[in-house]
Order: sequence, then structure tokens, then C-alpha cells
Amino acid sequence: MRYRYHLNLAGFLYLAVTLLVGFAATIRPNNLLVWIFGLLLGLIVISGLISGGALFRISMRRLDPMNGRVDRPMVVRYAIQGGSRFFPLFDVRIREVPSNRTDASDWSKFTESAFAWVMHAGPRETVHAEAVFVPRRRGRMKFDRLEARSSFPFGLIGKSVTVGRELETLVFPWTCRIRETAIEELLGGGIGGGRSGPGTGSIGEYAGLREYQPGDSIRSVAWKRIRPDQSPVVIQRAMPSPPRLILVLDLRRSTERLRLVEGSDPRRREEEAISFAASIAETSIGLGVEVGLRIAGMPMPDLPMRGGRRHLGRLQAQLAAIDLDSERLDSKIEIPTPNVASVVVMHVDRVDPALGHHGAWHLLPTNLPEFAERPGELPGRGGSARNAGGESAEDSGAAA
Amino acid sequence: MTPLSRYRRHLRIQVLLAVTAYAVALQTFEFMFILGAAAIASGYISDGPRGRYLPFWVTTVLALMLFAWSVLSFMENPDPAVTMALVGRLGCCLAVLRLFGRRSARDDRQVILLSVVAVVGACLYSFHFLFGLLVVVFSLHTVQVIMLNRLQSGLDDARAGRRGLVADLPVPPVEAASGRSPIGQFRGLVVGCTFVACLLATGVFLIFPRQIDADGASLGSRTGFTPEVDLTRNDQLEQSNREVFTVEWADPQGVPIQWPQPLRLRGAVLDRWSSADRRWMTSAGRRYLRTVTTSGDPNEFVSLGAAEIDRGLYTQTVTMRSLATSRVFARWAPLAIACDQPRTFTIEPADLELEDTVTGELDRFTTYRLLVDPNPSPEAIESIAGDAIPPVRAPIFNVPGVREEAERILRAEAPELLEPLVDADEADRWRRNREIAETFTRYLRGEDFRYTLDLRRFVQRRGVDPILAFLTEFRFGHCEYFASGLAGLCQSLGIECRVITGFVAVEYDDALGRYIVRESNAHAWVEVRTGRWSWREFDPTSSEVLNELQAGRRSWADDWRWLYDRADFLWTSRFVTFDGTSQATLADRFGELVGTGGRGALEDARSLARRVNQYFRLGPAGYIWLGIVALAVMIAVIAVVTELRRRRRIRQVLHAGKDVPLKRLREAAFYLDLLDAFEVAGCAKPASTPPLNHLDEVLRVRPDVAEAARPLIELFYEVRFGTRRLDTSARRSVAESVGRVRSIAEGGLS
Repeated sequence: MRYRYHLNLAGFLYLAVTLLVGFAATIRPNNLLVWIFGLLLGLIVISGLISGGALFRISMRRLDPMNGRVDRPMVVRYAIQGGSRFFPLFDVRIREVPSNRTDASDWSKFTESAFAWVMHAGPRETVHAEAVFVPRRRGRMKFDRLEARSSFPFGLIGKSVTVGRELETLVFPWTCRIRETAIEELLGGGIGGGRSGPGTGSIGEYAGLREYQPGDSIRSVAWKRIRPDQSPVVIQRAMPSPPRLILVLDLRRSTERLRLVEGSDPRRREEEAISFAASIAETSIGLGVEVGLRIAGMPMPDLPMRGGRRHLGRLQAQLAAIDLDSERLDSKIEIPTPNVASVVVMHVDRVDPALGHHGAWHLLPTNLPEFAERPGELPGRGGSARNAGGESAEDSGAAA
Repeated sequence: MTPLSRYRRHLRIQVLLAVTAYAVALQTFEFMFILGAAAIASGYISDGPRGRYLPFWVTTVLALMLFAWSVLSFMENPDPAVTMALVGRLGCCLAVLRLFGRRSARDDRQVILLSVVAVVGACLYSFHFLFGLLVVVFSLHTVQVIMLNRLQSGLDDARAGRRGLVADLPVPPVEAASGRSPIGQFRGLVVGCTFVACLLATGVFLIFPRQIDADGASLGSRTGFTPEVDLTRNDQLEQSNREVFTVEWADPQGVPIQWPQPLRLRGAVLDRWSSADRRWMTSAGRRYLRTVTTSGDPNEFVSLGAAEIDRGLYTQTVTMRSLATSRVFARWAPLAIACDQPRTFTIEPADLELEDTVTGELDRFTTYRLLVDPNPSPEAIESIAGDAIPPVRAPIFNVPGVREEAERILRAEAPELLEPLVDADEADRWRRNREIAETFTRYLRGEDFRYTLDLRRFVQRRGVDPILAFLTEFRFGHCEYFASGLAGLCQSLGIECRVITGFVAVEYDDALGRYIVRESNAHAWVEVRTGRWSWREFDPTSSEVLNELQAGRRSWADDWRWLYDRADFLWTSRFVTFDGTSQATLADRFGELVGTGGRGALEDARSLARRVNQYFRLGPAGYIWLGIVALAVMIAVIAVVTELRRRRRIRQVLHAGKDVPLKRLREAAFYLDLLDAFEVAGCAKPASTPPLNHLDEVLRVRPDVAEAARPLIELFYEVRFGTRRLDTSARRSVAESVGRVRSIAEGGLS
């Protein structure tokens, strides 16, 4: 914990006014001016005492924000407790302090500075304040130190306290809404149907009865259907099988080796590919599709096909954790057969049909405007995809 | 509800206080009404729900116009003395103007700064009690407003930071993170800050290096007594009905009476006219100061030098109301003095001018008495003066044109007085002087001359003496001009005379048996030497004029002025006149206190008690009353502190915020006594344990106490968290039960 005092411009101006009043009180025999001069001096002393006393032994904690998303507000909450027994806290600003190291994952490389404002916290009372960051890039974002600063009550002398509170969080890639028809197109008409499984309970449609086996939930026992030997039977249910989609992100070629037209930013193109994949995953899961993820060229585990928000979080965390500076691998990835799931392969620069089976979709970031629900509202990255559409014949167009 | 809810209102009050203080200091009340009304209106127009603001360009143009107005005012009257008044006026106007503009907390700082500039500027023009009170209130309120401004600034910055964010989704608005009872704690902090600031300010005030004898006279009150006659001003004098002191005039038998003529009380004697400075002053070479010391008994007179004072004399008793000065105002001719405090007075034997040396005292005297002989014998004056009175010689008055005017008047009014005296003795010469002075007095009281307080048309021109201008050109003015004219005419003809400034007592209160002397009774007249040891008063200002003015200035508010004037006296006596001498005295007393320890403090306490007793005139029984009052105050303070501490503990123990009414807490207060009983029983309750759970613990250690306390604990739950109410009898019953639990805990009962 590090304490520091700060003199600001207002303090210097105040000091100048105080000296002027003192000078006037000296040359004019006016006791009122003398008293005002004393009051002005007293306020300087109080300013230092109060701001110092209030921040003395202050306790600050950053509550884990879990994750953020590019271009969306990320609310970071702090728990602040005043350490003084007597002085309440007023007008305290909590800031993140950039790391001294030139770390690419430092928060200052992701977003602009912001502060949380605490209007009041009683002595030894804990309050929560929040700062809103808007991350501008994807990846692992690290917070390092926290600073509490206050120049209350008069703004003359400020005091700051800095504490180390390291925390790492993920910033998910930017996403946009994809057209439902485009998703249906990618799924190829859907591979729906019933699928029975071990799942019992009350969810799903009735599929039949079977003999009770150890481990079956007691809720699944069909009490009115008892076998002649008095052993119980359980109701077996079938779950509807949702459409399935496997996203394959082709990152086998390193950034430097990407074959793009002159003037294109290869790293940006890679980020757009990741965002496109994330957008498809998000929209698909929102439509009830089970989505899996394979990342080619990166030593990252494959994510099985699942649905639901939690799985979506896993997918996005996987995409957020991609380190494009790491070494690329040329290893083979396992692509399921067409009757298992639809496959969408997201390439960065050129389509490579070797990845995926014959029915797989091969997309480029430049295809995003065709798939986006509102292509006109795409910001810079979407716009760039749109703009990149005229670069070359190889760079555009989806292939199936 | 946060402390910021009333921020705008406090800012308006800040501006209103500044405008009021400025108006009180410079006596410009129309200014206060106009700007005050505008400041109040801004609360409805700009800060109200409709939020109408003046466009930025309009406020800028108006500000430039105000600035130009101030510059033109300064160019019209380029007097450095009025510069700060103009700056203060500009500050007030700009502050009010800013209230009508769209502004942030940063802009509000300008409003605060402008109001501070206005008040500091006004400090150079007034030292009156009301103004001082306003300045103190303004200063303390400024502390609160600055603190509120800091909070508002933080909120504005947080909002601005959020507004600057560009995101795909709406950014959540700023929510002020706040703990419990922010308003109460903010108020507590404000009170604490202002208290400490006042203490520090008082400390600086006491040790700030000062000049000796800074009695505030140089600040230039518009009305009232000044120890000099300055004829450089040409403004309109504002009349003040402030009571400065009261005078009891008792005949030789001690019966208060009203003197048939206005009672002229001499304060300062001025015998030399300075054409360069345009003012009357005291001759540098006439000081033969002598000192007398009073005992502190108001009935024990000390002779001022007269050989014989035991014959029947009039007694003049002066009781100060608002004026705190070192001057002693005495009817001619004072022969002995007594004071209610041990004081040392200086006396100028040549003209009997009296003054307090104010050594050894922090404040001014409140009452003094004089034995006065209205018609003193030459022997009495001679015995006081000794060799102080210089030999008779012609005064020097070198103003061209005045002697010619004097001779013209005499030719017109009494030509025989211009004829030279042949074979005349000394008595004839004194008689001639008296007749000439009477002629001039008659002339000045004539229809050609007009008494007025409005001197704005009295144009001061370079190279033209104001006395000559008064006599020959303008022929109007107030008493100082009339007295200066008479003295100038007499001195130009070689007649020895002097200008006297002081008060003229004309308002006699029959009920009190005293004259009420107000600031507006400040007066100037002339004393002409009519004998080797005698001087005679000549007042060229008509008494009828003074009486008419006095009657016209009375109002219903004057009946209540004594209340204000008493505070005014304390203010002036303790604060305004605190100077280097007072500092030295204070330092000596502090040294004595440190040196003598408690003995010195005891002596001071006794002295204080004696003074308070004398102040209220309680007599010997007063000490008993003072003791009773002190005891009552002490008990009250202890009771208040105890009650406050108990309330605080109740809220802490019951985790009750400010929203819980005190009445409900009082009903549950028996729980505190129950906790004390548990502590006595050796089962102190941890703060984290609920009462019923703790009862189980008590049951394990002291089952008897637990059994007795169980119904009370259940009752506590009903009162604190339920709807059960306890009336007085129920509370008494509960208190008895708690007492029983405590007795059991102490082992008194089984």
C-alpha cells in the first residue's frame, strides 16, 4: 500500500488567494480580513487532514467481472471499506493503474481508463462502486493495481492510495447477429429427429418403459406399472435432437504468411475471422443449435457439440483465449462425417477445401455482410469485411 | 436523498449571503433587493423543473457589459479607495448572472470565487457587527458549499466519463455509491470542519502581527464619531441610529436631570487646519500628557489635576452600548474620573482631552463617570493645566480669501468690530473675540447657509480650499463644514479657537433618566478662547436643525436597537478593536497563566465572575446566582452528553439507521440495560450473536439470570421487530424487571 499527496492547480490558486488576503490584512488594519485569512489557512490544514485521515488504511477489492466483450460495456465492481474509525469517505475515485511492464495483456492496451466514483462510505463501512470499461480488443486482459484518490473536502490537497490487486479476465470477441435464414442454410435443412438417451425424468417425450436399473432416478419410476415380479419399471423418454453444427476455425497459417492483397491488415483479418465464428456460434445457439468448435493450427482442445448459454460461454472463452502470436501447428483435426453435423470452416485468407468434408461450408471474413442480419449497422470490422469484398476473386465468396 | 439534493439551493444561498454582506457593508440596499430577487428567481427559472437557461452568448454579452460598467464607474471616480467596492459589485453581479446560465460544478466554482471576492472586497469598507456576522456565516457556509461542490464535481466527472464511452450497447448510468446515512455524516463532517477551521482561524487571528491602536476608525464609518475632521469627502452621508452609549447627567444632589441645552460631549480637540490634507488636526507641539489610574470602583473618583473637587459638581455617567473606543467623551470641564475597571487614562491638560491607554486589558471599558463643572472657575482650570496652556498667541491660518471674507462679514454684520481697539485691556480683547465669534455664528446660522448631509454637489476642486468654497460658494454642508467655517473665520482674524468633535446628546429618555446617544448624534462645534483660562462653546449648526433631524430619523426599530447594540458593543470591543496592545496583554496573561498555573486561572475566573456580576448589576447575591447558573449549565451539559451517547449506543447496538424513529428506539432501550446485566453476570454478549441464541449461552452459565431475562428478550423482539408498543407504565414495569435481572446477576436475589 502506497500513500501519496498531490498538489493540484486549484491548490496553488487557493494558496495565491490566501496570500493575497493575508497581504491585504497586513496593510489594512481590518480584523475581519485577518480572521478570513486564518480561516483560509485553516482550510488548507483541514484539507490535508481529512483527505489523509479518510483514506488511511482504506481497503479496496476488485470483484471478478467474469468476462467482457469487445465493444460492449464491461462493468467492473469494487468493494471499498474505509479504514478510519472516525472519518467517512467522500468523493473517492477508484482507478485501475496501468502496469509498469510493457505487457500486451495489460488492461490499458485493451480499453480507455475509467474510474469508479464513491460518493460516500461511512467509517468502516463497505460500499460497492462500479467502473465501466469498453474493451476494444479480444484476449486475456490483466488488471494490476488499484488506486483510490480523493481531494475532498476542498480540492486543495489530494491524496492517493495504491494497492496491488492482480486479476485476469477474458474479453470475448466481437459478435453480431447472423440472419436465421443464413444459419438454416449453413445447417443444410436441418438434421433433426428424436434421440433417446439415458436421460430420464420428466423432460422429453414418452418413449417407452424399461426395467429399473441401479442409478435411475426415483422420479422416473412408473409406479403404476409394476412388473409381475414386483420389480419397478422406469419411464424412458426421448429428447428431440437439435441440429448440430461444427465450427472449424482455420488458423494454421501464421499471421505473417497470410496471403492478402496489399494494404490489408492480416492481424485484423484474423480477428474478423474469429468474430465471424463467434457470431455464428452465438446466433446458432440462440436458435437451439448444438455447436462444437475445432481450432486448426492451435494447440487447443476441441469443444463438443452442445447447446445452451453455458456452452456458448465456453465457446467464446475458447475463442477469446486464442493467442495469435503463438506458434501455429499443421496438425490434422478430426472432422465428423456429414450425417453427424454440419461443418462450417472459417478461413482467414483463402479457402482450403482440404479442411472438412465435401458438404462443409467454407467462409471468409469478407462474407460477414452477407450473413449479418443488419449489414448496414456493422461497425469498423463489419465494414472492413464489407469493404474487403472487392479485393480479389479468391478472397470472397462462400463455397460448399 | 443524498447531500447533493440541495446543492443548488446552497449555492444560491451562498450568492445571497455575499450580496447581502456587500450591501450591508456599503449601505446599498437597493442593490441587495435587485440582485437578491434575481438570485432567488434563478431557483425557479434555471434550477427549477423547467430549467430555462440564458444562452451562453447572452451571459457573455451581459458579463462584458457589467465589466464595462465597472470600468466606466472607476474612470468616473478614479479613487483607489473605491476600487475594491467596484470589484465587489462586479463580483456580485457576475455571480448572480452565472446562476442563470447552464453550468457544471466546475462553473459553480466561479460563482463561489466571485462571491468570495465580493465579500473580501466588502471587508475593506465595514467593521460593523451585522456585517461581521454575515461574513462569519458566509465563511462557514462557504465551507459547506465547497464540500458540496467537490461531490458534485465528482459526480459530473463520472457522468462525463460514461458519456464519452462508445459501445454497442447502452452504457449504464452512474449510480452514486453511498453507504448508510450519507447526509448525517456529511453534516457531521461539515460541522467538524467548520469548527476546526474556526479554531485555527481564531488562533491565527490572535497571533497575526498587528499595529498598535487599530481601533477601526480608519475604515471610515459613514456616520459617527471620528477623531478628525476630514473635508475631502463629497458623498452623501447615511444616517445611523445605532446607539453608541447612554449618558446620565446628575445634578450635585445626585438626581438625574435633563440639561436645558443640548449636552455637548467632547471627544477630540483639533486646533490646526492643514490646507494640503484638507483636514483639521491636533497641533504636534501641544501634548503635555498626564496619566491617572482608576481603581475599578465606579464611585471612587480620581482627580484629573484640579486642586479642589469637593464642592457640588454635576456627575456624568456614560454607559457604552455599541461603541468601543479609547476616547472618553466628557462635558466641559471634567475634573475627576471613575471607571468600573482599573484603567489608566491620559489627559491633555491644555484642552482636557481624555483617552484610555488600553494597556493591560483585552477589551474597552463599559462604564465611566466624570465629575463635571459646566462653568469652571479659572482657578480650577489653571490647577489642572499647570503650565500646559501655552501663552496667548495668534493662530496660523493661511488660506487666501478667508480673512477677506471674514472682514466682509464683519463689515456687513457688525462694522464696529473691525475698528481697532485703542487703549484696550486684556478683558476688552477677550470680549471683542467673543463678540466676533458670536457674529460669525449668527451669520452661519442665517438663511444663506443650509444644513445638509448630501455633499454630492459640493465639488472638490484642486487649488480651492473647501472652507473657502463653503463660505463663499456652496454655503451648504454638515456640522463639520459649519464648525470649520467658523473656526477658519476666527483664526483668520487671529482669534484663538479650536474644532471639537464628539457627540451632542439631545434625546432624553424620561423613563431611563438618561440621554440616548446615537451615531447620528456625532457632532462638531467650536471652542473660542475667551479668557486666559476660559474657553466658550460656539455651535454654528442650529440646534433646531439637529432636533428636527433627530426627530425625523426615529423609527419603531429604534426601540429594539439596544438589543442589537449590546452585541455590537461586544463585537467592536472584543473583535474590531483587537490590536497589538491587546495581543501583548493576551500574551502576558497567557504567560501568567502558565507561570502561576491554576492559581492564575482561579484569579481569572474570579475576575470574570466579578465582571459578569457587575455587568448584570446583581449585587453581592449575584455570585450565588452565578454559581447556581454555572451548576445548572454543567448539569445540563452532562445530561445532554449522556443522552446523546446513550442514543448513539442504542442505534449501534440495535443496528438502527436514522430512519428508525427515536421513540421506537427508546422503547427498546431496556435491552441495553439487559446487556449490562448479562455482562455483570459474566456472560457478555458478542455483537454477532442474536439475543435468543445468546440467552441459551446464558442459560448454560447462569440459568437463574436466563430464566429471569427470557420474557424480556421476547419482549425485545416484539418491540424492536414487531408492532408491540410500550406506554409509560409498561416501560416502568419493564425497567423494574430489568432491575430484578441485574440484581440476580449481581447475586442479590436468588
